[in-house]
Amino acid sequence: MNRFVLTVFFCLYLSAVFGQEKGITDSIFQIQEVTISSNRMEYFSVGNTIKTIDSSLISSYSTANLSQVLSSYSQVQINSYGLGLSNPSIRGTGSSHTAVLWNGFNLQDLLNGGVDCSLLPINFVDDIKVQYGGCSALFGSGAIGGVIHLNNTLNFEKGLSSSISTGYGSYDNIFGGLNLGYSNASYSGFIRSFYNNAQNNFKFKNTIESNSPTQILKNAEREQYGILAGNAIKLGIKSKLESFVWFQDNDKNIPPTMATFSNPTNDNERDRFYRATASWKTWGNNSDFSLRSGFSNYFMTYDTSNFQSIQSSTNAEYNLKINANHLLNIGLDYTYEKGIAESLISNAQRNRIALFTSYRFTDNESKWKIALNFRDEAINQNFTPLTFSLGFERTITNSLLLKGIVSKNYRVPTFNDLYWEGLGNPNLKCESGLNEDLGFIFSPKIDRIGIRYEASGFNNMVTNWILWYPHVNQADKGKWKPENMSEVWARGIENDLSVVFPIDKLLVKTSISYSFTKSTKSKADFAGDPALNKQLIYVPLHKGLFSFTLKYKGFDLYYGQSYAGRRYSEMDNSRFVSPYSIGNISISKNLTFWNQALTISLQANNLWNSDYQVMEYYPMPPRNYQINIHLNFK
Amino acid sequence: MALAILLSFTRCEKDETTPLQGKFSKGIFIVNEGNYTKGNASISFYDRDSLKVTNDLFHKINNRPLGDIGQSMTEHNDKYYIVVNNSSKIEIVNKTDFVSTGVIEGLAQPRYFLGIDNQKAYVSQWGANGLDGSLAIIDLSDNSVTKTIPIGSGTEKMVALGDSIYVANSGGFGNDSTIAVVNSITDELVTHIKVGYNPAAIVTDKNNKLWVLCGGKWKSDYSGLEKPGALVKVNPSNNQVELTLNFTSMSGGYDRKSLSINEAKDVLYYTLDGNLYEQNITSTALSIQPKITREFYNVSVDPSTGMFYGADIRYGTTNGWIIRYSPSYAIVDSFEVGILPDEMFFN
Repeated sequence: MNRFVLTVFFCLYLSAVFGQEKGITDSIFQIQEVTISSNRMEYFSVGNTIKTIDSSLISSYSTANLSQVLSSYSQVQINSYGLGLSNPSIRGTGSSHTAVLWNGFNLQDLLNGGVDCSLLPINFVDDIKVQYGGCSALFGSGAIGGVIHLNNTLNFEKGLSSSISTGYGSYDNIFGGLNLGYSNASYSGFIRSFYNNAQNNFKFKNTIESNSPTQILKNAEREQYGILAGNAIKLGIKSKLESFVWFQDNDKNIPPTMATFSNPTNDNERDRFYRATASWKTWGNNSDFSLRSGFSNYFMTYDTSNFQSIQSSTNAEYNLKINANHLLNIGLDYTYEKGIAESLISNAQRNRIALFTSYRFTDNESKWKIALNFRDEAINQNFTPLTFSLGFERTITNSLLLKGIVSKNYRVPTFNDLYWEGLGNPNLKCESGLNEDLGFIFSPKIDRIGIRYEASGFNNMVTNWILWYPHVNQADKGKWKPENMSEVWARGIENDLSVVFPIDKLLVKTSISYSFTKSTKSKADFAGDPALNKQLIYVPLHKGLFSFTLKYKGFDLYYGQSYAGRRYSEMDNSRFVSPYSIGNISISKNLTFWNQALTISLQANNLWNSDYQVMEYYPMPPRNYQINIHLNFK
Repeated sequence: MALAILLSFTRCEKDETTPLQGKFSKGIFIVNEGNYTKGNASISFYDRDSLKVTNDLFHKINNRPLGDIGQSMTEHNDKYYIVVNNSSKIEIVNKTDFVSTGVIEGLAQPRYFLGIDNQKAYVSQWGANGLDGSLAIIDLSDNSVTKTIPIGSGTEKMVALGDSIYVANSGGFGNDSTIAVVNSITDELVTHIKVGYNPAAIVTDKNNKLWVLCGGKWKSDYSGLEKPGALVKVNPSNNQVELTLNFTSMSGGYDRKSLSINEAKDVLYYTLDGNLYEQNITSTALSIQPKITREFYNVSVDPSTGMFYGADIRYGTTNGWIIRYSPSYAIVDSFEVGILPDEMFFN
């Protein structure tokens, strides 16, 4: 309680000190009227390394899912169990250390902390930003290694629009989508829907069985459909209401691995979820206030076991522009979570209250930007340690920017860790990380050529990492239970060079990225721990991406060649999965058909027909194709 | 002598491409379960004379991994049969050089293999749902499954006495409390004998009596036992229970299937809560003091030497260790094996 009071007084003090100079100047910045959820990232995420996925790439891959796009065109390591569960891992951290935010709300699973990116349709997302490096002070629990920001935008005064997408691809992959939208000066709304069905019965070589037979993957069918609706209403000139509703039903069979191919079991997983958000925002000349509420009800059935997760959160946030140089934010978030499953204890629920505040400083020439963020959360009335971030950006010349950030981050324990029947540990503390990031962006302008080179070095110490292991004390003999145990030291460098240049009417964009990530276990879990100082499993030391885009008279070509180095599959590094390099290409052409705008795309995935594994023994598909037709009605 | 020189030559020439060679007819095999769905089961081989351990033996000799969850290993007709539970297969290798000669497939979560004669073998299996346990009858001429007999839940270890096969039903994902009796000539189920809760292991003693280790009945939330386990003596001539020795422990941490007998077949050894207990077959009460107190996943006696081999799984996701004890229970030495060492086969 004391800490809350102190933070509140600190904020009031700050506003009192700077409040006297309340001059209204529009010159440096104004509190923009943006989608309510992106506020905090827009202003207080200073010093973070953030990459935006090209929006026209998103349109070309509108029949794909988030896992495909991120693994083909970003430096995020997507750990895919075949075509199924795909967890993001950023900067050598775990599968639950990347927060995936949809319009500001965290999609991480309540029970296991992961996000299955293979279930998220690209068609439902307008904007994808990948943040390398955590920032819990801004984005809450889970943002230890990084954050993936998924946003929808509601534009006004666009009139009526509608479109149909259809796609057909290898292994009987069928996609259908229907989008409708309407907006005028005061209202904007859209409805999107999709249906996807695939057999996924691809051929692969089973290297576990004798003579490495070629087999056809079985029990890998998937069917999913969903609806997303967004609405925004302007109330007068100073306030706005916004809401999103997302329903999706996914039915997927779980195929065997190379090691379990002869098993007679046919596993199936059904994920159904409803998510809804509602926000109200009002603004004046120097301040804005928003009230947001989000609700999610997630049903998962694995064979005959049922799991239900309910999450409900409400937050209130206030931004105050003290003058042209100082911006202040303060807010409160209340989240209620409940888990219902036979595997959990009968009353698995949690209340979380978080208080957060941010301060941003910009100098008069906009050469210095500094942001200081704090967040503290109380879980079931127990306070977690204060998290913060301090970041800066310094423009040295108009082509050189220096940036850096120090952040202390956290992740609340999952419900499986806390409330597993008979084995959970309700006394678990949050996992936490201390992250430092320093880098620069060099972007000289030479004629019509745009060059951008960004390099960052990072250092991340993750502590209290929860580990499940067989206990030896009398009370728990032989039982696998979780404790806050492990420590991981992740460090490395990231480089990205991109060049954009026009040649007559042809626009060329190429980019090359390379990252080096050394992520090792820095503390022995027990005496003689053979995993000490060894690279974490499934974290590649070397990761690269080469991509280019060509745009010419309605033709768009995207090519990406990704590389992931050796990844160890055992904690003592005694076994590894070979490096892989996968090429993906997409060619699309805009046409006019019966006076409507038509786009045809042809895609080839795994263009060089590599025989590879992301997770050991999980087969990956050989070269496969997709054809998409997108019709835009006006 | 010549053999030793030959062996040393092959060792010198060993490079990345030449698989390891050696004699595996005599020694101790440790079956390392590996972690569920990770496909990292393995076999460790321990030579009693040279005291050398060869880990990941199957992979080294056959250039491919063993599979998912190594369950058990036994010998029959000059071959070793390795049951790989979650790959639902049995790998067959030569006793001499451990080279793979075949695979038995068409199984459903197999557990243990028992050779009946030159033509036939039985495999106990839990079934896809872990409740409908059965015996698969294998035709050894082509390694095919000819018949499946439903037996009980969690069909586990088996012993043969003449033409009768006694099969323990350990409950699987549910509960059971029977031993099934099967006629190995007709392949028919004869009867069930009711013993304690969730019997998992059976051995025969020098008087041809059966001893059954029962794990106890779990509570529905798996926080402990609802009913205790027991050591039960059965007379196979009349299928009657002669003696039931109930355990007092209700903690039920480790699976209880570690039961072995000495070479003279008059002293039993079983593990309870990680500790090793000795039990004379003439005793009518349980021995109170454990002989080895340590956190063992499994302890087995090597019948030919009387030494004990204890499997220590450490933190479960990295290599485990075998700790060796003398016949008088003094620690001798230890060696590193694979992940989750469990069943052992002594040759």
